[in-house]
Amino acid sequence: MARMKFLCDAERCIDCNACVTACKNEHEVPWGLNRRRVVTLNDGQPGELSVSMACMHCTDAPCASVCPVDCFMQTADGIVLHNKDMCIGCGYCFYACPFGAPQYPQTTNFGSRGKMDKCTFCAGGPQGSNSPEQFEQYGRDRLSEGKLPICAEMCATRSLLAGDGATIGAIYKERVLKRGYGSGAWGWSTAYRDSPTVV
Amino acid sequence: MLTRRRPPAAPRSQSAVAAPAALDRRGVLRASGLAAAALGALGTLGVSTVKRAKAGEVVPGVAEETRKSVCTHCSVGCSVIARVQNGVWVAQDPAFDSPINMGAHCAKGAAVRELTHGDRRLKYPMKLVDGAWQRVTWDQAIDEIGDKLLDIRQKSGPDSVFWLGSAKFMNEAAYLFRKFGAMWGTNTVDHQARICHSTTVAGVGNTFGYGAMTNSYNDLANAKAIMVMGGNPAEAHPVSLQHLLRAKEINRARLIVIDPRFTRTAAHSTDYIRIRPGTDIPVIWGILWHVFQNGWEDKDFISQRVYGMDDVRTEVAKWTPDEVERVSGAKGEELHRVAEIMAKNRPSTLIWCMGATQKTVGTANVRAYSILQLALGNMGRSGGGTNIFRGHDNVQGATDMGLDVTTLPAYMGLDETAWRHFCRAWDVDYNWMVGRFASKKLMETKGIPSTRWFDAVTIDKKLLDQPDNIRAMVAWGHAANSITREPVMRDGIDKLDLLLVVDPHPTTFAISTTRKNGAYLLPACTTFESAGSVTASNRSLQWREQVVKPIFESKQDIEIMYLFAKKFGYAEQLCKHIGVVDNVPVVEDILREINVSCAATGYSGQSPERLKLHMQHQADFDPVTLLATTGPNKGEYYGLPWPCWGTPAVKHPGTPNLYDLSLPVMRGGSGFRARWGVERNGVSLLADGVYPVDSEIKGGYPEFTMAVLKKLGWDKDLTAAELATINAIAASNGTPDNNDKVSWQIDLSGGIHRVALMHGCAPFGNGRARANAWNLVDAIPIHREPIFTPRRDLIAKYPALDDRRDYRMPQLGKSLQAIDHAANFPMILTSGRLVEYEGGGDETRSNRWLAEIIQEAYVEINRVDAARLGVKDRGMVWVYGASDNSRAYLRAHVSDRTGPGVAFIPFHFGGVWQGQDERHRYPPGLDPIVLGEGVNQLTTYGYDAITHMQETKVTLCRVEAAA
Amino acid sequence: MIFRLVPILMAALLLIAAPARAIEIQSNQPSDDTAALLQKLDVSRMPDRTQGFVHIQDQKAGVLIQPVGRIFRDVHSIGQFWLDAAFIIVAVLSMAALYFLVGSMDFHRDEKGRTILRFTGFERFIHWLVASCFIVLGLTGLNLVFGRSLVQPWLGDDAFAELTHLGKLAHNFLAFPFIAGLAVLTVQWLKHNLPDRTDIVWIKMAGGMFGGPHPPAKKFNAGQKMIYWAAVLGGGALVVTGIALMVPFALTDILGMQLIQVAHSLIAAAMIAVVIGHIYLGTLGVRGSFEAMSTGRVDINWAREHHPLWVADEAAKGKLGPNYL
Repeated sequence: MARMKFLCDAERCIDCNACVTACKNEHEVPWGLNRRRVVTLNDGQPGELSVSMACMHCTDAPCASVCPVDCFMQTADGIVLHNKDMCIGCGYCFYACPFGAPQYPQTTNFGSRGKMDKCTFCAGGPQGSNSPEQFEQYGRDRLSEGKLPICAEMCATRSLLAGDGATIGAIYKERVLKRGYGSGAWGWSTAYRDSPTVV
Repeated sequence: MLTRRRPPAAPRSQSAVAAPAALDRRGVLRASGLAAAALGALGTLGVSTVKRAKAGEVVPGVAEETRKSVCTHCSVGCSVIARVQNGVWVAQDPAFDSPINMGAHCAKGAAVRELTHGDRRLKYPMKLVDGAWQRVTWDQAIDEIGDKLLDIRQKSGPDSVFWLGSAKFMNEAAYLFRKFGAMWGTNTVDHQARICHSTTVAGVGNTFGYGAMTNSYNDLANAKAIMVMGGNPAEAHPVSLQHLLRAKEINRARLIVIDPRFTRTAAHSTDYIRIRPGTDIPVIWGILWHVFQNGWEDKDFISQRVYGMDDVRTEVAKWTPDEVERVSGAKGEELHRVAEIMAKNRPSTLIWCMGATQKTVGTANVRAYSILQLALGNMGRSGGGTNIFRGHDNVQGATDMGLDVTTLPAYMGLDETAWRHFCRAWDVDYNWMVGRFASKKLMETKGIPSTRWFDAVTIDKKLLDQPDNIRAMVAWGHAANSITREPVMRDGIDKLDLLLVVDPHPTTFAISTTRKNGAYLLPACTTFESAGSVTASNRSLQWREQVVKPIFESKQDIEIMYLFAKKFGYAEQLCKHIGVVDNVPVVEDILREINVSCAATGYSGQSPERLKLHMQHQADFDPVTLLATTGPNKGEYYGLPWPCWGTPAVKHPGTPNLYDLSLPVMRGGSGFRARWGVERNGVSLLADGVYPVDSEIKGGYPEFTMAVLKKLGWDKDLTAAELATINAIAASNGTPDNNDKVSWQIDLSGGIHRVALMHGCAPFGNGRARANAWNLVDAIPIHREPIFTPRRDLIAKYPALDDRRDYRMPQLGKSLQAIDHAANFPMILTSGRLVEYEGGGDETRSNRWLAEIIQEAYVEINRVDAARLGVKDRGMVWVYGASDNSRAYLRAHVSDRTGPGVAFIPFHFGGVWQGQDERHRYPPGLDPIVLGEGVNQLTTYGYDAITHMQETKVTLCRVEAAA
Repeated sequence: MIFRLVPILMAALLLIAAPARAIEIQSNQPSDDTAALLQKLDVSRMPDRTQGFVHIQDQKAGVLIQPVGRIFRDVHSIGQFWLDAAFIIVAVLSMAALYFLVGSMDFHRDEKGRTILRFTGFERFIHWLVASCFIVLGLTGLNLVFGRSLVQPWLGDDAFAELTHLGKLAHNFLAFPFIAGLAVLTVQWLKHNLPDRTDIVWIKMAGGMFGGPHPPAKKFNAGQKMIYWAAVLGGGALVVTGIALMVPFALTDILGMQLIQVAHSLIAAAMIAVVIGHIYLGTLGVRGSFEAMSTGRVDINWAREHHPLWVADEAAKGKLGPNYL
């Protein structure tokens, strides 16, 4: 069975933001919500590295744990989804998320921060259908069409990998060994509590 | 109601346990592995494979179509898959099959769907009436504009209208536009190449024979060392990094970046050298100095295929490491290392972009780069070459189609031979054509360049080599804020009799003026709403399908041209052999006309049918060699990169890498183009003892004319029909009894091509590349300081050119350089690109997904300078330009990316002028989301000697912290 | 000796000779040491917080990884959960123990039924305003901690989510009357709650709760003063943290928000525990107290027994009529 994961090969990421706009495009994500973003470390200096980051769909997801209404679920593939109808917009999931994935339409929490929005691994929402209602709320469900997340499918340099963890771990390992360097799989062990080096 | 949440029943758990199925060859993970074409067991994805290839319906129950086009934003040429329902573009999918991008995009390509959503696009024709934009009908607009233009033509001559075309025209539209301009009666027909790679085309064209990228983006994966100088592909051509990084990772190729800024490309480099902007020739000669010193040059290659290298040695000897460092800042041992890497890791490739070209010595820069690669013997090799990453999606095609004030299509120039050739191809009377112009002399004189168009409006007309000033400007798919000296340009727009903008957006032309009347906006549709061919930087042609019909009231460019041609009375001549349906010329017919008339640049073999077949079977092409290994296109290179010799029936496969002798000509090989004759001053200009594989001539040979054929005895291989056509051409050229001079370039039958190919020869000859280009003002590139330079101590030894006249106008040089601006404007100002925006920026800044990422303009300043000036990171500053009392109010980004003494401003912005917001000047609802101060408000005078390219990469400024 | 100097000298030379302008990018130097490479692959074993540059406006997005989120999760889901529960359970159990083992404190009713005014209408209004707000705030707050485990299973997801959302709205809106009331309460009773000597004695004698003579007290005894200060300080802390939670990141960064959220919860649970005690004592625990807050008038004997010094004060001020002598 596949366990879906993300891996961003920082040695290849050039901060082109294709992943960012592809996600926006595919799911019509409104202005102000950034499901995916590219962070550049050591900007402008030797040793500069860019990493594309969104929800990592963690094992034992902290967001799911702290949610007061338990609106999160994890599919059999390991994808962490949440139910926007139940979300009360309290913001705790953002405090718990190591990766800053949850996004909110409102900035103040008076009443609510609005329905939390985040990367769905292009798996749509909990309804499990590709209906217009689900698209409206969560965006498109690519996985049910046999496709992978659009951010990784459109990455300019094949830096961002998405798919079965064993497969993408193997691809990354192959690259690192072949080219002789690699800065590491940022966030992998924080998210998945294992190592990308597959035996 | 849901109780305890478990995965919803059917789809999810089914997806988890479905039998694994292999993705097809271009599946994204497959392409992510190092071996592009063969990665083993990827089938274990375990993802739902319920419906594999057929995309799921986006709106349930509505039929969906898939259309394939090519991205509009840069010259890499990434395929775009559009999912269309009910004539609306509803979703994008990655185009894994394309060998060029294999599904990848950058931020812009991943966001193109927004273009046909068209929030802020021009929706209908508009006219400026007493300062307000009003809606008018197409008929009214064409009528009024046409009347006005005809009036100007009648009173001042056809040269008083500037027809500024676009690098976003597809090939057919570009060709038709050039024809349209010719029939209007002027050579003042230009496009973005002037401000982008015009110096490249002139530079490499004058060195090797053709002005284009020699290899392909894909082929760069074969390089063993890569040098990027004056280019930032990580931001300007992101998808090309797939191939560069592949070379770096698999070949362990060194990636050398030489640039005043530590760019995103430099961040992935193995070696980075910072230099002072405007010192490219000293650095290249500095590298070559080490090459010659150590004997690393390829002596065989030089003796067999290069002319004039000894003259270069003389110049290079002056550039000792000390002198190089004094001028450019690059240290001797650094350049020694670069030279060694490039020499000892061949094939090594040299890549450049605007950093080389946008200088007063742009052509010379490019020639120096080319000479370096000649010296190293890297030319004509897979993994080597001079690789120019061009800008717009079809700037290569538009340049090839002659949207250039110096030439007709296919770089044939403006002499009588060229005109007669096209008149034949267009089936119009040559004398009629002469009559369209103000004079035969002006017909054969290059026009006013786009970089000086506004000077031609305001200058005293006695100083112009044409009857009158420019009085009308037609800006057709070109921004205003990408040209230097905006303050002066604003004056020019104000003084026009008529401003016409034909564009999907109003552009900065619409707002850069205080005029209240005499301006029109006509909505052109985007490249996704028309079909046609487009030429990527690697010379491959791709066929775009029309994704959706033109939205709102926009029209295709070719339709608008036809409507104007009707108004001006030459629609029949314009489309004599081109079908027209509902005022829209048939694109396939135009391409066929190109095939017949543009053989001189090898556009003869790419018929619409062949190109469409390539697009239908993209997956058959290998992503490194671009060769189809199977299927109906087997043996052809993707997109039939020009030169694709002979008629389509000849089935030449295209030329993947230019000047490659290791392949037979019928498989894409050739020597250098023998463009300058057979010998000069007793020295041969033809290749010596080397020739393409299987060539019957075992050595160099000139370009093929009937005289050459007859000398070889191959004229008997011509068919009767071909010979008849050739004789008819000779007759119409005035020599009915002697067809010697009919060359491969003007032979409309294609016979000379075919015969040359039959004998394993390239129609354009097998010549030597020129290290010495004697016809240029600097035959050997020499360093000249920028017009606006901080190094006053160097201008005595390295002065700008003398003031001269060129392109019908005065061109200043030395006299301007003599003025000392450095005291008041001590910092160097340079400019460049951001990945999120393109060109003048009005289109991309209107795209909400791109606009959200970069919401304001800024200036990059080094930490040291910021500390000295009291500028805080993210604080506001005033930047003062060295001319025209210019200034801009910008946010400062303080970092070490730019070196001390240099400031960098991205050029994509417009709509804010010297701190004043100009949003209200746009027609309501059509203003781009993001506005900002554009760097060209601050840039200055300075033009290349050969092409009149502008100097945007180095000028002077002063930065002050704002309150 | 020399051999040891050589590498040092070489290193020094290399440092001096390193070209200032040309940079060889160290991270891109390939190596063929498989084991070392594989070890580097997994770079983020609970790393420090990693922050960089982002183009987009929201600069918080520049934090690439904040691993302390996982710690927050443990503190929130486990630590806070059980500590909050502990506070409340301990409070309930102690009061139950008090009631069943020690019993209520009673007093001798006045045969003539004479009463003394203890709290004015305004004071009572303020108390009940704060109290009722606190109860709703407390319950809705507890719902955010315990609702998922205790309420959701039998109420069902949709109804529970709806309820919690309404609860959150109530929690936010009622904060404001709570703040206003608490402010007035603080001011109106500040004078009487300043600690003094009688408190020491009172505390030593445990207020007479476990038998023995009843220690004297002024208007508020030490126990009540403790409640007051708990309400003021604890309530004040809840107000400050609560407002910070209502305007996330306006006042502090994410680490601050995490700490504030946990603090708010723990302080609230402690306050609920205190209030449980207060409610017990004010109703069952000490007979005759409730009237102080309901009618505002208490039995004169009750007053003499529990707050004799206050009664004397009132008498001296002439607040008692001739009936009371």
